[in-house]
Amino acid sequence: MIPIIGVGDFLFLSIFLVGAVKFGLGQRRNLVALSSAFAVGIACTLLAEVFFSLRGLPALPFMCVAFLLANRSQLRLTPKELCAVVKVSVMFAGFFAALGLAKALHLL
Amino acid sequence: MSELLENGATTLGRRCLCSAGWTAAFLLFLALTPLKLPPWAALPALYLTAVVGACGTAGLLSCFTRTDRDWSNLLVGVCVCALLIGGANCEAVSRWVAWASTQGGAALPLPSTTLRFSLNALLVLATNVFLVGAAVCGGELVAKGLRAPSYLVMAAVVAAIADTFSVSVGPTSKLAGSETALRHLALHWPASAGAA
Repeated sequence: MIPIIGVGDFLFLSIFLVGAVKFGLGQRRNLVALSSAFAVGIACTLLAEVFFSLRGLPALPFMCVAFLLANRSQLRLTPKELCAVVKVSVMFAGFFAALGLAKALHLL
Repeated sequence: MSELLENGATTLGRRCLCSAGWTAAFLLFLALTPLKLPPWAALPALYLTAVVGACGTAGLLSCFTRTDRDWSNLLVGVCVCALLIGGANCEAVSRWVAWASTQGGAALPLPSTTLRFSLNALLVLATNVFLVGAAVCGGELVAKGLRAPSYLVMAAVVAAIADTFSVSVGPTSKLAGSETALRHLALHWPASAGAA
């Protein structure tokens, strides 16, 4: 038995699926898209361990990309919403990059 | 009664088709991946593990996320559990038998003669199901608070960034080194002999 998938992955999977049902984005299409992304994530994790000895790959990026691609026609953002998404993304990316840098420099 | 059986069969048929299509897509991905292949001896076990894990995930998610829980869902759930236990315990089982079973998706359990039940496998399975159930319930609670589809975009972007950080240098990478944490927070998937 190999531990490769975290509980958080299922949490977000559920959020996406329930959100898709709630907003009428298509349950079947999203289930297939997210399941496929999950399968690809599992395959990549196994292959990464075999070929590169990497212990774990993030599964959420696979699922997030699959979810956004599957619903790209329905998830149209207003300029205001797009601005908010970009702002939050940059803020989070900056925060995590700073944390990573601090760890790399042994400041934390 | 006959209508109920017919509906159940239709649902099971759809699940089978979905699982088979999904497995085919997964194999297509593997076939198109321009990577050097692992040694031949490790191939069946590696791919079988991924396919069993993938089918099991689809079956469980399908059971948990459906609102109209009926007997066919329960049957699929039981079959998925049997499949996972079988995958966890199959050491000498023919890969073709396992392949045929996984092709049928969650609806076709491995023949009982190939299963060797153990308490450990049942405990791991129970833990997995509990964790998936808890995560799905938590996700449902969070998703109920969403007020617009744009929230999902925000959640997707932020989750992808956070998970990438966490797995590379964050808390998840630390947890990966702890056997105790892994035992409680990660889901264990069946690995055929030679894959793990």
